[in-house]
Amino acid sequence: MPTTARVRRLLAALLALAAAPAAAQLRVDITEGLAAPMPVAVPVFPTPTVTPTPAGDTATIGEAVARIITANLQGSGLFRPIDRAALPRPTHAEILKPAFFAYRTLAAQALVSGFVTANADGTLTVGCYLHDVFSEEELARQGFTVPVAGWRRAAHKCSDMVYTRLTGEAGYFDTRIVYVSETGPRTSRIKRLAIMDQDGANHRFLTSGQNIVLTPRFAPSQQTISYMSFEGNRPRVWLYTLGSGRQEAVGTFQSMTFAPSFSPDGSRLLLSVMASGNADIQAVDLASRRITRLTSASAIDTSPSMSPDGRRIVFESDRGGTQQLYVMNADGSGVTRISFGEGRAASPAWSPRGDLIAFVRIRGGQFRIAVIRPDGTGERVLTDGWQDENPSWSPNGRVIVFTRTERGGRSTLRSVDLTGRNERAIPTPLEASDPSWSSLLP
Amino acid sequence: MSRQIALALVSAALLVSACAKKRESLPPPPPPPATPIPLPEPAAPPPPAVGTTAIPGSMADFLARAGSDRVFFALDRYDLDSDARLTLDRQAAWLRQYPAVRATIEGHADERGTREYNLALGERRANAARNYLAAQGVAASRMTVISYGKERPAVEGSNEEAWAQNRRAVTVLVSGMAN
Amino acid sequence: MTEVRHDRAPAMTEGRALAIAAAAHLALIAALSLAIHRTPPPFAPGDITPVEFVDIGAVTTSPSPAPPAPAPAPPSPAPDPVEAAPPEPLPVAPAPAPLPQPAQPRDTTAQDAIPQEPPRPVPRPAPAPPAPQPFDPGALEALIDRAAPRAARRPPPGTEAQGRGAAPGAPGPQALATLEAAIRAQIAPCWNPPVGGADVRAMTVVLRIRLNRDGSLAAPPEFVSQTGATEANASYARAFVETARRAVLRCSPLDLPTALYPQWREFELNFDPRVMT
Repeated sequence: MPTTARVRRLLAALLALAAAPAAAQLRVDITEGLAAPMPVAVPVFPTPTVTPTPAGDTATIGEAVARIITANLQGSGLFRPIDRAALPRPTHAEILKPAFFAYRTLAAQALVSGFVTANADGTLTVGCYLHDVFSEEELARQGFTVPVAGWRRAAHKCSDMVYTRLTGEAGYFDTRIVYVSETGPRTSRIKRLAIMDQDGANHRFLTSGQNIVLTPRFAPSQQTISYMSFEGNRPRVWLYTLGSGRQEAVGTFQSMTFAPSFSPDGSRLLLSVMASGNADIQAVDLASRRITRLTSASAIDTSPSMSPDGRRIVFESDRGGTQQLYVMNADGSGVTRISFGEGRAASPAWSPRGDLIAFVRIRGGQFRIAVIRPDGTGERVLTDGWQDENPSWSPNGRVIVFTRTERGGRSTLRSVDLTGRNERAIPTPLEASDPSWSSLLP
Repeated sequence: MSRQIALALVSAALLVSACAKKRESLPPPPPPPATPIPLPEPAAPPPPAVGTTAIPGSMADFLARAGSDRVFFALDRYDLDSDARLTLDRQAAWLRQYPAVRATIEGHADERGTREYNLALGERRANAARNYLAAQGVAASRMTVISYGKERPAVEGSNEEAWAQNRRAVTVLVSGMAN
Repeated sequence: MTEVRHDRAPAMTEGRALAIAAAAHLALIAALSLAIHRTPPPFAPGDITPVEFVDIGAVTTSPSPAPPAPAPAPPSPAPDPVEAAPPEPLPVAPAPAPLPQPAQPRDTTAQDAIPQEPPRPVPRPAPAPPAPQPFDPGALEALIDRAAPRAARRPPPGTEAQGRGAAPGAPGPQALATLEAAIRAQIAPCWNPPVGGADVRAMTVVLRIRLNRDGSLAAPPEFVSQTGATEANASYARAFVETARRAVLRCSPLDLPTALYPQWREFELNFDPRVMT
């Protein structure tokens, strides 16, 4: 019977095809959509048993976890978390069987839910689930066991899971930012290295403020920071090892070294070495301490940044008269200028995604963050500050953190995404500059 | 007596706890001091009037005789104009007279530049001043250069006037002066 | 008063205080070094966050040991009874080049139409927030003008020619264009394509839609084909397909002219965001 049915249908289909081209199946092109943030629901993470912990009881932590995830997703500009007060408060048992209907009526498209439990060994386990509200499918789940003190990281990991699953791109929430904290009058500014979570939590100072410190950069391992310090009135590049707090000057250069940045594999440190009025880019092999000079033009060559594949380096040079961007091979060969047009171009940073280079476009008295493709095409200015500089990429290459200095000198950290539409302030306890974004924490 | 012992114990405990606390709090350094840390840079006092009674060979004498410890630069430039050369001529004369004096030439930039570039630009300015002084007979070995980029403006303010004062190279006497 | 006493007392006991302080220091140092030797401190001095956070036991997407409640199987919204088109769940990780399903014979005759007993309609969601204007078939002309200018110059639906060799009773191109515009107008506002993705410009997806007469989904949207998907962007490609499918789910049931049901009972949607990004 199925056979005859199939044959009959096939015949009918053939007949239709032959006789009626106009009856061909309708195909509708949808070329427009809504470029709006996706509505998501992040209800409070319930706990099966309310258990006290040094960081508050598990119910309180469950609320805080939902709050952090909400803030992360909102901050990305790609999601619109629905007001939590309007959401159901799921019980622990409901996490796997969400009341989808309730979320649909709130127009949520995705549901982020989970739970918090305290373990006998004093750790916490945070479960994290992502459901499609309309198909009612579970899209992803992850569990995290963390020391109580590290509960925020579970929220960030959960945020990353959601972001990754819904956008198809890597997340960037479980990351940190190292930057320079600033206080005091501009003529005698106190600058200290500081580190914090991407959302400003867990803020710590790393240096005392005795010496001017500038331009910290994370190593890919996130365990080492390279920066410039005026320690001993000898401005030069240092390494700071997180964990041990060990600090060490890089190399035995007789002159100023500055503008450090790591190769993506962490094996080499690129920096600028000043000599008789010129700055050259050199590479220090961190294992052997062998030094390779990469540029030798009679010019200021600085702000080197390596492509994620380690094959090319973008840097800024005034060899043509004003600051412009140049790309060269990792061995210093094949230098090509990539920035043109009116104004100057400075402080390039190669995106971890490889497709773009962020830099400072200086034009008409304004310093603004811009992006350009490595071949020099597609330049777009993303910000509109009086003086925006020091761009540093989020590990997924979607967001750029930078310093904004206002007229009068007040400086703060801000972030902007690739669309340029989603710009926001990054909270710091004091004034701030020179941010560097870590890669995703392990 | 027992009161004294108690006091001693308390103060000892305080000492110990202060010490222990210091140990603990080493990693995250203390909050910023309320007062700024004194800086190597001289506060650029206006050069004293002509009839000064500064001690010969002192910093005040240097300022009085040279007219200024600093020279200024045009936007994004590091070449010395005639004013600057005049000042440096007088500085060189003084430095030749006091060969024991050593100096650091500090180079600075205004705030209107990117951080890394300004570090290099400041160094270029300091170098320009040092090279000029050396050409006027001041032994290069007596002078070191350091660039502060845009990190140490002489005056605050986001206007042309302030920027002009901040684009500078400053000759700072570091040793060998009379007191 | 107190101050005086305070001043004097330490002076008298200074030596003793120092001795005690020294002893206490020694004890402290001893204790500290003991502590260091005995239990390795959780963080070395100056240590920062990473050591504080130990991430263990990530329960991945596979069946998890961690979750609290039993029955982890998500309710399948897929209808069961009909043998016709097995509800093809969207490919979880789109194969590099997913081949279009062998085209299902189209139902063009009345007798074939019967077995397509509509399965349980998908629960009706609240209409999408933006542009929830009820669809008005009477306003089709306006839609055509915007979406398909070429067709707009043609005579209105009533007057159009029967045929151009089409099967008897088949609607003319104008009616089809009208229908297309109606579908487009209802789906587009529900579609949140992932913007800003590295490959969004080069990506499209085609879904096959099967509707009941009341405009509700007769089956979940079926993946037909995708362009622009590569091995490197697999997870983006998957997310992209899901936004398209979500758009259909969110905006169903569709409000379409019943007279044209044979035309919209089964059709394809080609999601192509190239112009919008």
